[in-house]
Amino acid sequence: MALILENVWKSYPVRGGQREILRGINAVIERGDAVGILGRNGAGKSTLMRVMSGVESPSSGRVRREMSVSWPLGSGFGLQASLSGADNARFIARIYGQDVRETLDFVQSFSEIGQYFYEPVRTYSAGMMGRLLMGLSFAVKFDCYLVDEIISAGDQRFVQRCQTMLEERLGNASLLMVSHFADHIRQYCRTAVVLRNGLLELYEDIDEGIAVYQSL
Amino acid sequence: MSAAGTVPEPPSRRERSHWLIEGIATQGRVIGALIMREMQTRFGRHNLGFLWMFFEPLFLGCMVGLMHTAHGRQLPGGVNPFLFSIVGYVPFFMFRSIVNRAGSALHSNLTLLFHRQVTPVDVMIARNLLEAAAVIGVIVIIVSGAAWFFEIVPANVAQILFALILMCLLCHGLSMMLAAATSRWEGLDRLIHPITYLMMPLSGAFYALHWFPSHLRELLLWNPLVSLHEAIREGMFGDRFPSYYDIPYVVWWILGTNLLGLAALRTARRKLNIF
Repeated sequence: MALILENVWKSYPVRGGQREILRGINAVIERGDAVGILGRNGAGKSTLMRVMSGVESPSSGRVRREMSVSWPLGSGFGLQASLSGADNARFIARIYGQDVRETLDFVQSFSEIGQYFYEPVRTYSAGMMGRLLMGLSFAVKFDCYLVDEIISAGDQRFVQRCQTMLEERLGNASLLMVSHFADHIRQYCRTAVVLRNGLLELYEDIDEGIAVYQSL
Repeated sequence: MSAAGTVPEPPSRRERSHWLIEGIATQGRVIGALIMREMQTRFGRHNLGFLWMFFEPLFLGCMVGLMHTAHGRQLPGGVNPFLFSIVGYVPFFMFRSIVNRAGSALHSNLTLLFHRQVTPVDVMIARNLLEAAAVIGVIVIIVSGAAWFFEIVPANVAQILFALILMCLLCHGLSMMLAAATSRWEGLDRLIHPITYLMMPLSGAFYALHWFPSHLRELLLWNPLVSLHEAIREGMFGDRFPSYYDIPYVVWWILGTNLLGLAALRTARRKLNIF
């Protein structure tokens, strides 16, 4: 049970040619891993998330998902802005084949957004959006969570709730997290990778990884 | 812990069955969920919002019907001009709304494609099913209304439904091709509207082929929509006037457009860059 990337390349067409974002990435993410992904703006962190989750396919190479992987949890991704949080929860429950009532109850009590649960998602603040997204994805019990910068928008209480949730699952679930905040990476992750020039550099020691990232 | 409050227990995980059953079940669930969301975004969740789905084609169809009736034209076989134009216009309305909306289908659902099990084909099926249900519902309302109030009983209800279903399938195939093509060439979306508009006189919605000389008839029958409109009219009015259609030819069109459409969407999905 793992998420395996085999020589993954990804390029996008730009004016006058192709821009290569990922240049032959190999990685194995086992159950229970908690990895922080660091890198400068435009290094390809979000691209890597999308390719790992299967939202976009790699230009070449292969991604093998032997465990269930969440969609990339970033600002508003996978949500329908014109619908309410509750409607979005219903949609998620339906497409993942879960009980609608239980999912609604869980998302409402985990996200703690009160009456806003019944308002359109486009009226949400960044923090509420993050709470809703994490609630939705925890409701589905994925084996692997891909978190793109959204926990950072939440307050301390929310960060702790996410941590409790993840700790309950740990050994059970794995976490891949993109964040520019060294503190969040330290709080959630055990290893760090730095994405540079389209390749991943792994640091077993998280502080070493953060130091490398900060010197970029 | 105390600062975080009590964290609720997430819903339990579902048992998974054989991959084949699981695959079909997932597709069914996704299409169902997409239909629900399409109804919510298009018609709102208030009161009887979804009735608009039926009201729009019904209203337009009736207006067109009244216009033709007011025109006071005598139709061959003495058929009711109101019914004649409504059974022509409403199926054409479906063709136009499915095909016109195809261009924006993928773009307006990009955020849903973040969920791996939602595929472009599901999006198209959900949208088109909704459109087809609306139009078939309207036809049923009109035909039963005509039978109830004016005792104009359709000659062959099964044939009307059969032709309508063929028309849905044809529109579905075309819409898949157009959705894929639009994701490749954005400008195409601008051409779809004028083309469907210009198709109106060529679609056979507003006339019977019987009115034309045979060489013109043969020419018009190259368009599969003409065959379908003729078949619907025959189902409605029977042999009050002769109808001309070629169902096998239409079936070839359906197979062709659907296969090409599926292949094109598959290619398009791989190339689709999401944000």
